[in-house]
Amino acid sequence: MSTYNYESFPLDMEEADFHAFPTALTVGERAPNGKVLDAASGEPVRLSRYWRSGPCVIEFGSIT
Amino acid sequence: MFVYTREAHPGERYAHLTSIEQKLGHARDMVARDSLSRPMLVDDLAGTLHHAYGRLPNMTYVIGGGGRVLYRASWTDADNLELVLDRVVRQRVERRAGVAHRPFYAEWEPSVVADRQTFIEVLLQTVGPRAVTEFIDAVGHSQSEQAARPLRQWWEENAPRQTK
Repeated sequence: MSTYNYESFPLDMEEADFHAFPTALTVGERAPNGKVLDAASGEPVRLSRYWRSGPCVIEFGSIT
Repeated sequence: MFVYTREAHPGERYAHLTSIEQKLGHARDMVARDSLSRPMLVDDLAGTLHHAYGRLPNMTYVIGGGGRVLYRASWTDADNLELVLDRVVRQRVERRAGVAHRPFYAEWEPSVVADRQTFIEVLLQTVGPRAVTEFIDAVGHSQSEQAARPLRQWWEENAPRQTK
């Protein structure tokens, strides 16, 4: 397992994470909440703010 | 919304993340590049929320208004998500109209076209040659040299001259 912010793409392609995904969190569970930064303002916000008023979609990723 | 995680394929133009300021900068670049109108949110440098949701590079979740997970996918697929969102919207409309609903549980393993050549072309344009060679080496190592061969051939023909 490599460090989280690895310098080079790992040879094992972090496949263990893909295998672990089905049981990492399950449908029906409470969604993990926490602080993130709003890129537009740089200000901290809680993720739950976005599902407070109705369903929301969260996509995870990066420019690379 | 979009949650910015870590550089999956760090390279010359987008190096691995070492500060939250750099992470904010990369996230803002992505908003500009892709003309994103949805909120762009940035996880902390350690990826605390990314870990809590399963740590994959391009996951999608739908969270219900009550804060429970309605849908989760290991890969973001617009067609698949559209099916789910159509259903979510219809359920809300029907429930509000007084139609009784009962939940059921479903699992599904759909597939997507594995167009690795287009992927490495985008990597080359966005990040640079190092990300491409590292990805091809990882395919050769974790899958097979046979799987990596067409990518190596493409790279032989298309790599920028100074990287060969």
